Amino acid sequence: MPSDTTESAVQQPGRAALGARPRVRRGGWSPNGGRLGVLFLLPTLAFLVVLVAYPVAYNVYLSFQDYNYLLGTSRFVGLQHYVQLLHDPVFWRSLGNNLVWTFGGVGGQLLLGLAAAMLLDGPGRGMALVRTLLLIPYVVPAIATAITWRWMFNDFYGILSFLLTGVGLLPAQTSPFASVELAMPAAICVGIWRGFPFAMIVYWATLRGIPTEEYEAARVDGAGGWQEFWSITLPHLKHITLVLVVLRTLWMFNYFDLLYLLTKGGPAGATQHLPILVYITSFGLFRFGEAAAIAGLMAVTAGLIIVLYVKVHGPGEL
Amino acid sequence: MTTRQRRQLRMCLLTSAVAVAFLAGSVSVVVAATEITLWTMRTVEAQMANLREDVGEFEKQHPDIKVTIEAVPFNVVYPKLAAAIQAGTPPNLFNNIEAMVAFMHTKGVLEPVDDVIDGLGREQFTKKYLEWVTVGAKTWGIPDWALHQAVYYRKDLFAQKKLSVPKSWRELLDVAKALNNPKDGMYGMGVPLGREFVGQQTFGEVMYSAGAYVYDPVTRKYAFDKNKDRAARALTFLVELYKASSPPASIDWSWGEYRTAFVKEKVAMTFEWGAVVGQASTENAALLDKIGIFPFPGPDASDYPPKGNFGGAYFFTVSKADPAKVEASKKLLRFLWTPDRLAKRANTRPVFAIPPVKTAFESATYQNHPMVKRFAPELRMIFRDVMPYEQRHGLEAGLSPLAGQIESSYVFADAVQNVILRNWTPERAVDWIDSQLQVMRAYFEK
Amino acid sequence: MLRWAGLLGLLVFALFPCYWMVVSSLRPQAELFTVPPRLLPGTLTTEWYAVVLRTTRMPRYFLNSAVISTASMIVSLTIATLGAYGLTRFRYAGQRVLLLTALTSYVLPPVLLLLPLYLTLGGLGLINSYAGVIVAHVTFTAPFCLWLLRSFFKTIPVDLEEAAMVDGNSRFGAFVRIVLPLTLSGILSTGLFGFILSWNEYLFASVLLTGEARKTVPIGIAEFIVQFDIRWGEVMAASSLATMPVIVLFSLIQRHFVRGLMAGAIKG
Repeated sequence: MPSDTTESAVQQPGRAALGARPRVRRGGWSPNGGRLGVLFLLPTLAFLVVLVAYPVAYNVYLSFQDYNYLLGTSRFVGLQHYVQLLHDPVFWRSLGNNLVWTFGGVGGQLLLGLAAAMLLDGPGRGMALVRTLLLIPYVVPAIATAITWRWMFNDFYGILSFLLTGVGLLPAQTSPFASVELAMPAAICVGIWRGFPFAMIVYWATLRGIPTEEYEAARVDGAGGWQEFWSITLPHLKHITLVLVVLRTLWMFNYFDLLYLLTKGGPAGATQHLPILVYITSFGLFRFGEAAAIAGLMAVTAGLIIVLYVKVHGPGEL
Repeated sequence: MTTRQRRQLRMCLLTSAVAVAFLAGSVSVVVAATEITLWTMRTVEAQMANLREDVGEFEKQHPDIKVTIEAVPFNVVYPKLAAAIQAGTPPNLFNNIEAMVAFMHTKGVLEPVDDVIDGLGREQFTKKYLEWVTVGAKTWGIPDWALHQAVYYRKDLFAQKKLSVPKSWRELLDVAKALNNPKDGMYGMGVPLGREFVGQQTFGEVMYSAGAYVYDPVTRKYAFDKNKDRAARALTFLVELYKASSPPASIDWSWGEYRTAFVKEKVAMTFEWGAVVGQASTENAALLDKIGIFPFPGPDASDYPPKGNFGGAYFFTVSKADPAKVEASKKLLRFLWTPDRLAKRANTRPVFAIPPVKTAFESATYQNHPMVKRFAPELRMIFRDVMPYEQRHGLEAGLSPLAGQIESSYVFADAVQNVILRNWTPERAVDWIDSQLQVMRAYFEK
Repeated sequence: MLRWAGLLGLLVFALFPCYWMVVSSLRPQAELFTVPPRLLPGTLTTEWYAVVLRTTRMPRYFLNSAVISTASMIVSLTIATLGAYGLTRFRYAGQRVLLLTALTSYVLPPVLLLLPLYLTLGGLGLINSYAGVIVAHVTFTAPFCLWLLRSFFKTIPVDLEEAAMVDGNSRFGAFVRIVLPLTLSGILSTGLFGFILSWNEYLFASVLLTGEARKTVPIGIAEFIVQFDIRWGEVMAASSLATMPVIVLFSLIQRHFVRGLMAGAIKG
């Protein structure tokens, strides 16, 4: 098992692998990759072209067509879909839901993740075990998650519905998924449950990197816990928080599986977000062109988020 | 002839005879078996086993035909079928629901099956199912398994409160309210309105009881825009029924939820297709004697049972292919369409599935099933009063691709949910449905 | 003390749904539907698991998921390992652009890739085939693995390979002999995480796999619900069965996964 410090693996393999092949090498790391460099990148480039560039281009093409999959008919319509969508209240409501779902989910994930990271950061036996257990929600299949939470929110037999009724947040014998006001918050809870471990680990790693001297110095100066948090911890977390916000926002914004399996977008469209709208438009109404346009608008929005990030943070590396 | 010549002659004849026999034998071996594919949307194991058994017997009787069976659950059927059609290989036989028949007909891949139906005796079939799949004077599917929707209720609770079977909307509402007792954990009527499939089915039941159609069965033209009043009235009543006597979360219920609610005695009545009987037999056997069935009433007590309700059926279709395969497919159909086999097929899901063929329905095989015996009067009532008047959105005037579209786009369910949760007026909801349908129509009826 | 209370609360929050899922899968019919619901299990039964394993096609779905996820993992790892190495060891004109583009696919909504993939694979006759779904899964597992592995490789100092090359190795030889062994566990863990992503995926699999013979586990479970005769116990059992392998796999690799995220986090 390789250890963290890589010095140990040093000279031996090199010497041992010598095999006495005196070759003239054009040595070192040439600033221009050279043929070998390109070879390494070839699979990635192929992937980018075939599985990214081509589908995107195809999607753009589709969005300019009125393509009915059921009938197989296709007709060029230019920007008509886009114009119609921007005038369609269903689109705007779905976009609104998407934003609520995204930012509610991301905010909750980051807050809970930070709280968890801070709790984890410190001495204690079994921390590794606790950490592993807390990571589990992140890997449970979306279908199992959706089914279990729906069962827990079941109107008659759901343990969570029962508890919520007990504290007066939910009328008796009903489910949050039957109410326009409560469906999305309930769904966001599930989203937070699912996503917080990622933020937790990233924050935890960052916290471990904060030099303890800073805390000691602050304590010598008489700073309390809260002040330590504000003036030392937070600044160290600023950069990583931005990274997390971008990553998790993109992920939640585009995430189809969980919300669809949880609510199918109901009731009365209260939890219908853009990915679900795309799905219904394509595999429910078979209007592939329109669906492609919605997906295109989604990608544009996601792109704007990235642009925002780069503007605020500067073109560093992710 | 000398002895030697006679022997030579005998050798010649013998050799020729052997050669001829050999040739004849090898020719029949060289003629390959006709291979046909059979897809079925009935994927529950009991149904698959029954189908495999019948097909196996058919293959024994017809060694020159080989059948490959494949199960296709209905939530993936569109992409799978569309891909197959695009590839030029639709299944030779497809055991599917009415919307699929419409889809395949639109794509032009079906063979009419009038010859099979006429050969069996057209009068034997419950007409309504034939009407759904008839277009251009030809019939494009053969009804296999009828479904029905009605109100399943607790006879014992009715008796307790001295209630009689309601014959109008008003009476139904009164009965539902009388039985509604949430504090004791029992609601009057389960009104399932889940977005996927179920809401449409429940709304459809009420719509048809009021005589509101998407296509007019008589004029064969699009009619929803002229039926808006009736549809709005149906919607109003449905919402009233939901608010007065249904568990609030039923707005999100699918089949599993409302059946569980009935079997676990949380609702005294429910919209239902008959599967409750099967579920009760494993989860609450004591309930079986208490289950009764009545057709969903219309607005007017004097017109009971109403001449419209929301139903469904399974069909078999035959796809265009080379003549040998078409012929083989039809042979299999004729084999499967004996009253006994129809009865056995339906009884893989007793009460839920009813054979739409009179001879099969009245056969001993069908009637002797214990569950069928138990509900014999109710089943007779369904066969007589419910099945002949079934409708399905988009199919009221025969095949139309609109049928599947309506189902997969959640239009009717969304309308109901919007009235209940977003305070839409029924008029607005009905206008909205119409506008959605018109957009769909525009693609098919240029 | 407060810290332990907080951790306990978190553990309950994170693990209760899993607990509930497993407990529900072990409860007999009578105890599944109690009002109010009972926290602790009474009698236990394995009947639901028996039903799922014996009468449904779940075993077949497990096989399909295993095949698809393994293949996706291998393809993604190939792309990601070579790509990550290339990106961290060589300098190119437009490298930053390339990196951003590679990560752009992470940005694209799966539903945007869905339609072109669906139509193209349909045209190629790859609907309802392993290959089609593997291709679809690689679209999101490869970028993720690339990102993780890039962080890994950046933690390995270039000196080691330079030393090896001074000793007469080619660059590729250095890659194979020095870098790979050092990062093997990291690579495998990243790969296994890609495996998990593929195992859990629903959307592409639901649209691209339509026949019984090819369906994956999430699709199989989703269909349980659509079937007319839903049995909650069976559904919970199937969900538990689908989740167990994922949790086991993940617990094996989580240390490396965390390390990879850490490397990414600290490097910013």
